[in-house]
Amino acid sequence: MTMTNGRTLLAMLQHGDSFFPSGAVSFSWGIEALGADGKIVKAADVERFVAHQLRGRWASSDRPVLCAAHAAGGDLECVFAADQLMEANSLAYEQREGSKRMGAALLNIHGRLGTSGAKDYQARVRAGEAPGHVAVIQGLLWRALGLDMDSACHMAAHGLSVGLLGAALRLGLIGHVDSQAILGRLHKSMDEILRTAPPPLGELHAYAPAADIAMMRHETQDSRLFSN
Amino acid sequence: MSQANNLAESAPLAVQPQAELVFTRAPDGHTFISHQRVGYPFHITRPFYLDKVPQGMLTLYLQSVSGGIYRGEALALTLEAEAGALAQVTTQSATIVHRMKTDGAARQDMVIRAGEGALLEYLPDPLILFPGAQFETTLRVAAEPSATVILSDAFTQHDSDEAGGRFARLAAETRIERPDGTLLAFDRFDIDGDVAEAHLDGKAEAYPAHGTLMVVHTGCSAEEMAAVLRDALGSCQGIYAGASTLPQESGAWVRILAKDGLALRAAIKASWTAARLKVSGAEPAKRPK
Repeated sequence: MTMTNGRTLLAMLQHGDSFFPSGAVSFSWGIEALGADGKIVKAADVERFVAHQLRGRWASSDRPVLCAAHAAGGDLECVFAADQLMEANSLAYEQREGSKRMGAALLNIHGRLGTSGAKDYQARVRAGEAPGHVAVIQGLLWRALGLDMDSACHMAAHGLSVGLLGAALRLGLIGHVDSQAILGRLHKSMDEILRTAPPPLGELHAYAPAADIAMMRHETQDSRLFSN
Repeated sequence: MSQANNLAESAPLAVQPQAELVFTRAPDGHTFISHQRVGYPFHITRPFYLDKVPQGMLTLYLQSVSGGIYRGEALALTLEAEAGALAQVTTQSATIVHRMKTDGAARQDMVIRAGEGALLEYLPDPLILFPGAQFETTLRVAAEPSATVILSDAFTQHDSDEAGGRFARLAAETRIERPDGTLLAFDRFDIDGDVAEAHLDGKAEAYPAHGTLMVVHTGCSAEEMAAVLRDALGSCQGIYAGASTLPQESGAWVRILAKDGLALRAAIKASWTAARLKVSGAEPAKRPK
């Protein structure tokens, strides 16, 4: 990781923290259904799930999209191209909708904060022209805040992990101590991922069949705490 | 749209596909093979007319005569159903992807085109990946909005020397487009045998057999098709599976994790049967295998 100055570090803490209203608390990305189906029952299961979501999906799919949107440097056509790819590769309905709802929440708060590019892209999303997937919006807006690509990737990996662990915590699958112990152990995996270059946007790929299936099954699950 | 399409571009196809088949609807309504070029290692059977409904639908078995997929092979196939043609292409048994001891993965590139009102099903039996197997596949589908394309893509692994070996790599891409190049959906993964065997994203339950079935169809709402597939999966045993809509309302799909190849095939068959019933109004006739 590049050396960060104090201001950058504070911006990362602000925008990467769960105190920031990113909308992440509404989503479990399959954990709720896996819990209901008895596929995730204990802390070790949660840890394996989160580790696989990081490596099997985020690193090879969300990350190259985030990086492309970041590298676009505010060129909304390039951002849009990455967004369309994410749409076509978001195969399960709740994966697709969850990602777009989180993207919309992020655009909304940043629009009100006056972050550059937020209102312009939000207009495209609201007009139904752009999907507005969260990885794309993160790349667009965190670049606009002056955060470098590497920092943005760290924030996104951390944010996903915290979101998943927070969902597992609220579902009673893990306790507070578990969640922090798991997050600490996941740092090694996140660091390994982030030290390696992401695949090019044209080669993005993902394989998380149990999460796909869980989100599919969640569509018709009886009582639901989360949106996916 | 073109920018996104270019970014998701598949590797270039081999210049000359070993198998090229065009299905055409005759004036009397039955579908026939109007063009065929099938070279080694592929072999096709004569066309069968197994289904009473939809009337005139052709079924063809396509098989590799070489006994599987070997190191360094580069296979290419093209299937085309012209406007109104009705065809199913399947295999007689599973395809073995053999051990590849050194570098030199095998690959298969396939193109499927479906014209207006066509129904084209490509339902190969699952791949059986042997330890050390390396296989890259691409399947590019160009379907008119009024066409229906049903696809299955499935694999399991077999530890042929019982030494705990796993396949080395399976990189698979399925891409659904309109004939004008508009990208609707793509599924692309790049995994090794450890991932496929060991992980269920939570509980360490072994599901070595994995499958996907896609139904590209706009004759009913995507949600209606997803519900049909969901119901079909509900009666299957030995699987963890779900159904959902595809992006752009272009149809629906299922993902299946199964305890073994038998359970996987049963789940794929159940989903395909339900999809066919929804699309054509009748269940498909039994396929001899």
